[in-house]
Amino acid sequence: MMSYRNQVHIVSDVLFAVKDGHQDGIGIAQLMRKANLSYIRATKIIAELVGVGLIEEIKMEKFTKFKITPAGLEYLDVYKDFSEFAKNFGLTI
Amino acid sequence: MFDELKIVLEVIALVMAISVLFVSYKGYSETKRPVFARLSLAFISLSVNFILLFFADVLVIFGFTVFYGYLQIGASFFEMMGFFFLAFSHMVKASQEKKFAGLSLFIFNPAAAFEALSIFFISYATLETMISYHMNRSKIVLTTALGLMSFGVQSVLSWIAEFVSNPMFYQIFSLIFQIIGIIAFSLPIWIYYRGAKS
Repeated sequence: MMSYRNQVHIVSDVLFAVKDGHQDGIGIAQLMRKANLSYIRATKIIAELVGVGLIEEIKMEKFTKFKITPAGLEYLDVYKDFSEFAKNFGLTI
Repeated sequence: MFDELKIVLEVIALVMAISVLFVSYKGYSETKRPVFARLSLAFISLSVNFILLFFADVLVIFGFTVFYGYLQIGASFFEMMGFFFLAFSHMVKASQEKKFAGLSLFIFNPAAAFEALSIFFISYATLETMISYHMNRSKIVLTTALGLMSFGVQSVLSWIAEFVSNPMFYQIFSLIFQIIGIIAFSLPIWIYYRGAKS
């Protein structure tokens, strides 16, 4: 059954998209497609995640790419552990 | 012998409940998600329940039966609260998924005793956990559902034991189901610690 994603779920989807992208980084269009977000929503979340140091912005001549930081990887590990813990009780984060 | 075994199981159950409480509280402090706050409240209540049961049984062994009834009532109340928070988490999840979550309205009976309410809440939590299993086919979720079911059967048997003249048969089976429930509930904690270590 389809359910709305909460903020934590959306952030983790963005981080997973950035993590699973190319090692040189992922562009905004690819990120929007993988995380299933609109341009406005994606840019807002990316700005927040860059601000707290979970992803880094790599500015190139014509475009910008995003890479996950060690803090972002750590966040994903914690998210996976707690998400699985809640899931094992039949619940979701 | 029976009372001693019961006390040992109560201590094991208390350790399990505190372990789940610890992970749930850690989850809440790190993610600030309300689901972990509800799980923490559920397992605080269940821990208090096991502490009160432990003291009730220890007092009986030493011959102090005066407070036994009060401790039993207190334990039943906290057990009911624990299973309420567990069931409530499932109700919230069900409403978020726009699934029917009004089952409680049909079964809820305000005159029922705490023990009967516990049975209702645990039945609801078991049902929702079984639905979760049906959706994601995770064996651990199925084990948790079976654990909840065992605690439910244990509650029913201890409830019946209150009314029969020879309750030993019900008490022994109640203990067996408590052991099954404790083993099933230890799996998610074990998996969490294994995952956190790697």
